[in-house]
Amino acid sequence: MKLIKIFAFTLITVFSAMYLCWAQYYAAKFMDVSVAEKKWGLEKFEPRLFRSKNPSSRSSMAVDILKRKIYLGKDMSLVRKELGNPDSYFFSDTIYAYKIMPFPGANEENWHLVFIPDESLEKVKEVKIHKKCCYKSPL
Amino acid sequence: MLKLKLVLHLSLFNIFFSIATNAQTTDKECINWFNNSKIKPGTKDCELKCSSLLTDMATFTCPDQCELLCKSKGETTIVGRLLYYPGLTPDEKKLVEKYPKDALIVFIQKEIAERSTNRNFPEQNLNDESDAFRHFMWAGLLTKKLGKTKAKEFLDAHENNRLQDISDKNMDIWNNNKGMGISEKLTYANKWNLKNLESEALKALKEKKLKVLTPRLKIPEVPK
Repeated sequence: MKLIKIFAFTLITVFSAMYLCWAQYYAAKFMDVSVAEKKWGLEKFEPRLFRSKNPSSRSSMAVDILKRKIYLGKDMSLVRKELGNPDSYFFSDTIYAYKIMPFPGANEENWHLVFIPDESLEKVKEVKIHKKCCYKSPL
Repeated sequence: MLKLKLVLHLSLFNIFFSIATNAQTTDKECINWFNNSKIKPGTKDCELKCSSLLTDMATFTCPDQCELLCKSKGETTIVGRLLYYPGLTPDEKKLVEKYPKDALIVFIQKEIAERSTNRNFPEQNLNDESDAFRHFMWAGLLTKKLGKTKAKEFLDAHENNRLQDISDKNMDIWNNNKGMGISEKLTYANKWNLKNLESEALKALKEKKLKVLTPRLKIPEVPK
């Protein structure tokens, strides 16, 4: 009986640890496209403009990227080619992240655009607006 | 009694992991030896053919691994699968499969490094001071937890990423190496703790010993 309890405890420990791994990523907060449109409006996405624009004026184009699913299923390399080098960070270097608003100051609400690759890291699996600040880690 | 319980608990923990992850691993030499033979893994007579293959000084133990080598390619263990998270490079996935327990440590240390970076650099961008700091910290933490060899294995696997520019990669590898070196020094001097590691990272940044491709952030005087 004791052995079963210990085994069950071990199982719970292991799976809790795994859950925490996943929670760190999946507990991240993403903004719904309709909310983003209400907040920043909609502007036709132009890669050249996005690249050259100040982060503060990228947000409305980010909404268009999401709405028209422009990069879904496309090569990750195309994102870098068209949008330039990523200038933000989310979770891993393999996820391309771009600023869409100026830095609002420490502990202030901040969002950026993230391109999440598929398992092979070749194609874009998801494009989201992620709450960069201030997400609290579950760990 | 308490010790006995602890030993029993740890043994069961290990047994669970061994079963779930099929912890037996194959050597690189043996994988090459097997692949060169052109035997198809997963076929009925694979093990028989494999065990009768010619060996040399480097591969004489490989027939012992035929059972594992004959398993279908791409077979992924349960724990390995569960530990996958988005953005892992193929090399990282292999390491998660091979060392699931260590992979969990790697992940938790990544989290600690990110929290430390958040505290010291509220504004973070790619290839700036915060990026250098994060890599230094992660490498330092991993060296403390796993030892330099295994830490390097995980860090290099993370950098083996086709999506990354060569200049970004060089920056990360440089800063990882600095973090590993300082962490070892602190350990030998019996001065290892998170605050000291953070202090060393900030000091290295100020002295321009870390690579920063796009310098733009103010470096804090002391760790926050």
